[in-house]
Parts: sequence; structure tokens; C-alpha cells
Amino acid sequence: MSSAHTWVVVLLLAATSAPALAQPQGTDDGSTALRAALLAAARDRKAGESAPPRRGRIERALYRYDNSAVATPFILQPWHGFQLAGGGFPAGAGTGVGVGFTHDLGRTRAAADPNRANRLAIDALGAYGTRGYSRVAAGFDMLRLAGAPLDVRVSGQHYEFPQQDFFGFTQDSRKEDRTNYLMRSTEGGAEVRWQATRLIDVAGGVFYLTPGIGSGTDSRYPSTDGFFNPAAIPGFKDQPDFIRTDASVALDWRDNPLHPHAGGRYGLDFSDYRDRDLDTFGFRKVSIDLQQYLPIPNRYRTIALHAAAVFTDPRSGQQVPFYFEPTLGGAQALRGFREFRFQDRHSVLATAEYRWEAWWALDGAVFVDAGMVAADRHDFALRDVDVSYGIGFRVHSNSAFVARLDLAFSREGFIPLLRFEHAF
Amino acid sequence: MPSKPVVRFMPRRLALVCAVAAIGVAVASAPRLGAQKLESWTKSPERRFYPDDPIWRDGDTRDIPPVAAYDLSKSYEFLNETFGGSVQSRGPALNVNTLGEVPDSSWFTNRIGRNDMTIEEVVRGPNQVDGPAPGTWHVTGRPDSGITPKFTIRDGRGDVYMIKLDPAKFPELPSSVEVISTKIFHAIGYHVPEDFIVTFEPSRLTVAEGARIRTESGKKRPIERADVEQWLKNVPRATDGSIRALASRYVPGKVVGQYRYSGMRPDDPNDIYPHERRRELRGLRVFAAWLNHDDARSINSIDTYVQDHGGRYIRHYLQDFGSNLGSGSTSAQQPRGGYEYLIEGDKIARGLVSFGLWTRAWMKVPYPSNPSLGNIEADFFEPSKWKTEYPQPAFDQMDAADGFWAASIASRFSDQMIEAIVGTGELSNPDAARYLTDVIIRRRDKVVAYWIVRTNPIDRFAVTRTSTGAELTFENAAMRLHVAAGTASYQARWLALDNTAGTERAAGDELASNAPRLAIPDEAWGPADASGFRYAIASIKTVQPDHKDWLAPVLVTVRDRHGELDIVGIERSAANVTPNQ
Repeated sequence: MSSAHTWVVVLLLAATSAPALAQPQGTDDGSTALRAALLAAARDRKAGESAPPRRGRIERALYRYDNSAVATPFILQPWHGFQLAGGGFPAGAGTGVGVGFTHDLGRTRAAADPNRANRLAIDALGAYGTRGYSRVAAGFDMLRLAGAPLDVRVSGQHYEFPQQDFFGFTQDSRKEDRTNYLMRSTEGGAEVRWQATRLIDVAGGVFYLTPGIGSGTDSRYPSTDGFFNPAAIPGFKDQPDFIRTDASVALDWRDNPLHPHAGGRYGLDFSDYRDRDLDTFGFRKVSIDLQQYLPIPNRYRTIALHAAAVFTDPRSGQQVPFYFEPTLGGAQALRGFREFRFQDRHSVLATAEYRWEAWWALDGAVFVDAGMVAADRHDFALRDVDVSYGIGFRVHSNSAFVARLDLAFSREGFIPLLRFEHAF
Repeated sequence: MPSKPVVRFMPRRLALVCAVAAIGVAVASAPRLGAQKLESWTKSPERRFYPDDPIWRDGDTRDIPPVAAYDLSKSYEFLNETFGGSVQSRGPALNVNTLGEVPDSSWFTNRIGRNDMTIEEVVRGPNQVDGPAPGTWHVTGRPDSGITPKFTIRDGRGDVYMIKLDPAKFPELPSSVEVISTKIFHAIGYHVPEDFIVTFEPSRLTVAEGARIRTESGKKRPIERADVEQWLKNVPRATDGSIRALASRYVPGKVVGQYRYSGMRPDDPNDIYPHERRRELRGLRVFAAWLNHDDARSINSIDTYVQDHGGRYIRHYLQDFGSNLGSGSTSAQQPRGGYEYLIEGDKIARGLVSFGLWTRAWMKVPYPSNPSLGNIEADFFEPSKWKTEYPQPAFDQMDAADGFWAASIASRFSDQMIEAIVGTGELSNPDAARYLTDVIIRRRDKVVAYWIVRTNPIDRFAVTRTSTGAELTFENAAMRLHVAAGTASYQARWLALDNTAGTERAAGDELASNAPRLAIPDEAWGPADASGFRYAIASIKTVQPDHKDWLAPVLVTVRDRHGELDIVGIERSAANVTPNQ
């Protein structure tokens, strides 16, 4: 409070004998004084000490932030230009630090209308994880071609993940058998996405993949090829190139895909992997993903159900390479177990979450996951299912999810998970 | 499909979470400006009334030198009021005259509270023109601030307007509530912009020469016709392709910032009352609750340096009513709006640990399904529990006297007047208009009923000569407005006031009366002051079994100016402080 503030307040409070406009001080002889004159005198005195308002440090910083054309879109809105970015690395990559770049081509920028016809955009990314993970990627998007809900994306990337976990196959694999291996790949391709109706999404694409496998670099655990017999792990010794062809369809009637409280999404993905070199590892993969959100009885409490299954089937006489097999464990599936904890040719997963709004920006959740992997579809049995459960906290805006902290428990212990995407 | 856009936004989201947390901690631990300065209210033994009392003009439109613009930070205001607190001065309202009324000033002009207004006058509101001039509108810019889709135009007369567009899913909602709110706040007495519902063909717009827009990268570039078409692309249109919008005329003068609901502007010599002790800002809580103006905050005010009344001074406006009634500016009002601050730690904790078994009552409130109404209702609304988006120091300091002042003004709006005001919102659905009219009427009734009875509700004091002397008459506002049941009686004591010394002397015994009238005994007059005026004070309690607060006396001072009697003082108890619950 400035001195000018102080004296005016003191003057007003001390001189007033009724809860009314300011009263004169002791010099008043009572004969000629007027209320208006008193107020004028107070204003004259303040005029003599008038000073421009000043912002404190915090206010100054926040004012700059509010009025910055950089800061607000950087955090809250789609940003165009250079930006900080993660690498999209799997768990175990350490802290990922990267630089991304996005740019809309043409004079009319995306912020004016992200849904305009024939919008062209490019993006690029370079990222590195403290455990040696790396990724470089670039893409070119042609969006809303001819004004239709049709997007085309051409993209390529190279990544190297040197500490991918492998515990062996089957649901009976042991936690103590944790090993790690290196996986790298250079990939490129194109995909098309068509929103056939407001509720139906159809997509397809073709990609060329060049996976490579090597010894893991995590010194805390043995390398996979030093612990397991590489010859018994399909695809560990020899890695061909692949052409992957994708097709997918999804029926999505969630009330708000960014933060759903009602509705559902039923998706079916199909991928065909063709071995370009060895004619040994060709296979097909079918993924089913079902989500249902049941408000009870209003949007402030929701039961969220998720069922997912991935089935891989090798071409006749061929095998499914281990690095393309479905896995369970981690932040998206069977959360009480470490990422990649279980893997085999097939996986099934069921999740139920009860979410409640504790605050407009925070939901609580309790969840239970159940799932298993198997080499053969006939091997799935309820008695072999592994279960994890836990409690979670979800930060969100009025309309969009921001982050979650899940505290998950299982027969193998407790795992805290901080993620910036929904579990499903 | 495994291939996704490669750029991920996790670090930015993490940055957001961390930044908000860190800033909150920093603000909370920063020195709180004057928050510890708690002033007590003491009676001065000095002269109480002056010859020109009660004044009805504050005199704060005196000429002052030009001031520099001082814009507030919306982030700082939110964090400071939520975690820090900006109160510099506590106590009753200071800027009232001896009758407890707010004089006309650069902040407030007495309108419906002091004078009868016709429906036509209320409906006309602040408008000096009939809206943008016919002909071409020249698009001059697009403000960066705010969340409402909008742009500025200059019409053929050279007037500048902000054109605010309705959201696609809520046609007519923000534009109607903004116009309706403007009419009501103006009639109450606040300075507000001139707002108009307009309908225009996009072809009427042309880009003004030199008009520029700031892109998302922060650079400025010329506005193109394609930009204008994009702005209009997703707004609701009539069948003939025309677009309905709100046109808000730029207020006169040079914009020099916004005002806070606490403290004073140090470079404005006219600003001598801490804002949290301005009755019109404290009482605004009643009007804001009435109209669900949960966005009432410093950022939604505007100060302009104007030339008027022969001087240059800062005039203070309320603005941006797009988040009033059922509107949330770009959507329907959040169901939380008006019921809970953005951050209330105890409720967050309770909400978490209850696993959803504890739910806020507002979560169950039903709202109309009409998108042009949004989320507004009157059944569940409770004036005492209504809240803004985050704490407002002036609102939190509102006391029963402030509430009585505001409720008295609110009670002056007739049902017919409200119906006519809703008509200015030009809702196309008559049922929606009827519903909104009914809601505003019932919410008015609730705020009046709540705040009128929080203190001794006698008012409309008058003094007349009778055959036997003089008589003081008054009314019971609670009874007149039918917000209290039963009957009331009155206990009064006369005090002779020595206005020169500021001392009082009891004159006679306490009187009891079932009627709101008191004869003024000769011994009630104090000695004449230097002006030759004499003063008598009636200390009047109202006895009503259901309202113990009414026993707090109202002190009514009658003045004898050489035989001419008038009411010069009304002091209403402000002890019943009712902060937001």
C-alpha cells in the first residue's frame, strides 16, 4: 500500500463521524465548511501524491504471460512453429526431451480455421530420452481434401529404443526374468482417414518398416539374448523388412472424445505384415477395442468400461516376430504390472473404472483391470487372468483431459503412473 | 492405426500443471497487499452534518491530468484473489452520503433507485444511437483477449463497435443475455456500454484499409476477406443467410485500464475511497447474483479517460456480460457457475475422499433444454450462497446495509419492466422469452426477499408539520414488499444532537408504537450549529419475532433549517456482515 493510499484511508476513517462521505478535520470552524469542499480537499491532497500504478514482480510476469502471443498458445492451444516435445517413447525411456515443429502451409493459418478445405501442414520432431531412446520423424498432412472429411498423411520416422523389456512369453513369465533388448526401425508410409459420418471413422494405410533387433543396453538387467535363447524367440536373430497394410473402422458416439462421460467407441483394426526378405515372419493382426461410458445418474459420475483384444495369426508356416506381439502391463493395460510385462501372440484385456468429479478440474477414479496373454486363443481361461486395481486422479479442463496419476496394485506390487493420456 | 502425428504435447501439459501450481504457491506466499490492515470503525466526537448534506454528487469528475493505461493481468487477478487476497481496508461502505445512498459519480448514477423510470427509459438504457449505421461495416480488427468470437467494425458514422458472435450450438444466448444485462445494470446506475442486437449479411462487411490481425505466432498481418469469412463460417445463420450478433459500441474516451474491486488507483486523484468500501461495488454482489453474473471481476471492467462536465476524468464501466444468466460466453453456463469458486480446497478434498458419494447440490439442478437459454433457473438459486468465479474483495465485504441498498433498487424493477427488458434480447422463441422473464422476476424476488430482511428494514422516511408540531413517518420495506410475514411494531428513542460537538443527549423515554410514525418532541432538538440548524435523531427499532436483526436501530436524523424540516441522516446497522458462504 503506497503512502498516498495510506493517508487517504486514515483521513477518511479518522475524520468520519457517520458512515458517510468524508468529514473535515479539526480546522473546521463549522460555519462555512461544506461536505463538497472536504472531498475536494481530499482529492487535492491525493493529487499532490499521485503516482502511476506499479506492478509487482509476480503481477508483471503474469501480465507478460497474459499478453504474450507466444506463451498462451504454447501451453493451451495448438502451436505452430518450434516447440518443446516429448518423443512419444514407451515407458522406460527416461526423461524425453525434444524439439517439434509444425507449420501450416499457405497464407491462411490454422488458427483461423483448422477445418478449412485442403489445408496443408507439415510437422517434424527430434527427441532423445535419457536412457538412450531417440526418435526423428516428419510428416506431411493434407487435411479435408476438397472440403470432404478426408485426410491424408505421409510420414516417416526413425527410432531407436535400446532398453525394451522382455520377460518371456505366456502369462506364466516371471518378473525376475526381466531382460532388455534394442529395437530400431526406419519406417515410412501413407495413410488415409475418412470420417464417413459423424459417428463412423474409416482409415487405411501402407507403411514400409525396417525393424532391427540388438542387445539391450540397460545394465541393471541382462540383455535378452544373454538370458533367453535367441533361437527360441521368433525374430530375434533375423529381422526382415515389412510392408504393413492397415485398415480400421470405428463407431464413435462418445459425448466428448477428449473427456467422455457417456456414449461409446467400438473400433476394429486390421493389419497385414508382409515379410519382404525372408518369407518367414508374415502375419496378420486384428485388434478389437470397445469402450462404453455409463453416466450414473448424471455426468458427474461415470462407469467406464473397456474391453480390448489383439490376435495375431502367422501366415502358413511363418511366425509372428516377438517385437510385434501384443503386450500387457503399463499405463494403458493391466496397470499394476510393469510395461511389456506379459506378451504372446494374443491378448485380452478388460477394464472397469468408476470415475467421479471431485472438482471441475479433477476426477477421482477407482479401477480394476484384468487380462492375459496366450499363444493360442483356446488357452484363454478365466482362472489364469491377472488382475490389477487401483485409484487414480485425473486433471482436466471443462472439456478436455490433461493428465492422470494412477496408483496401481497387483500381485507384483505397486506402480505409480503419471500419464498425459487417458488409460482408454 | 499405429501411426499418429508425431508431435506430442505432454511437456506443455506438464508445464501448465506445474506453472499453475508454482504461481499459486508464489502468490499465496507473497506479501499480501494491505490484507493485514484492518481498520476499526469508531465514532468521531466531531461535527456530523454539513449544510450541503446530503450530497448527491460525489465530485469525482474533477479535471485530472492524463493518466497512462494500466491493464490488469487476468491471471494475476485470479491467483491473487484466490490465494492472496487484496483487501486493504475493512468496514462499512465509505462513499455514501449521510442518507446511506451512493451519490452520482464517475462510478454510478442514481437512476431507478432514486427516480421513477418509464419502461421506455429502461429499455432504451445507455443507448445514444440506434446501433451501427446502415451501410457498409468496415472490419478494423480482431481483439486478442477474451474467449468470445468477435471482431471490430467502424460504421458509416465513424463509430466503432465490437461485433460478438453467438456460438453455433447456442444461438441467441450470449447476445441476448448481454443486452438484457446491460439494460438492467444501466437502470440500476452503473456505467455500461451501448449494446445492440444486430442482424447483418456477410456481404455488408468489408475489410478496412490497414486492418491487421495478430496470428498465432504473434506476428501481425493484414486482415483478408478470407479471414472474415472464416470467422463467420461456424456461426448460426438465419434461413436467409443473415447473421445475428451483438454490437457493442465502444465507450467514449481513451481506455486506461480496468479497476479492481479493492484498493485505489494511485494516479487518479478523484479515486479516494478503497474500492472494497464503495457501496455500489459491494452491492453489485446482489445484482450479480440476481443476473448470475458470475464473471463479475476486475478484468470485466473498463476505465476510460473522458472529457465531460467540463473536466477530464476517469469513468468506470462494467462490461462483458456474456457470462450472465444461462450463458457461459461460448457455451451454456457451467452448472458450477454461481455456486462454487473455481478453487475451494475443502470441497475438492471432500469431493475426492467421498468417492462421489458426496455430490454438490447444484449438480442435480435441472435446466431448460432450450440452447438459447443455457443453464439458468430460479428454483434452486439462493442469494446468500451465490458466488462469482473467484473471490471478490468488495463482494466479500458486503454488509447488511449494502444489501439493503441494493435490494431496494432491485425491488424497483416491475414485472412489466423485466418483461420489456427481456424483449430487448430478441429471443426468437416466445416460450424461451417467457421462461427467461419468469426466471429473472423470481430471482429478483429472491434477492429482494433475502437482503431486505437482513437488517432493520424501515425506509421512506419523511417529516411533516402537523397541527401539534412535527412528525416523522416511515415505512417497513419488508412489509411493503411482502417479504416478511406478520406485523411489526416499533420502539423509538429521541436523541438531541449537538452537531457542533457531535454529541447526543437522550430526550425522553423510549416510545412504543404499532404505527410507523413518531411525533418529534420539542426536547429532541439539539442546539443550533453555526449555520443555525438544529438536529434531532430518532433511534428506531423494529420489533418482529421472526427477525431479531430488526432490533438493531436505524438512526434517522431530522434537520430543522430555520423552520424547514428535512431528513439529513439515515444510519442503518451494518453489523450483520454476511460474507459469501
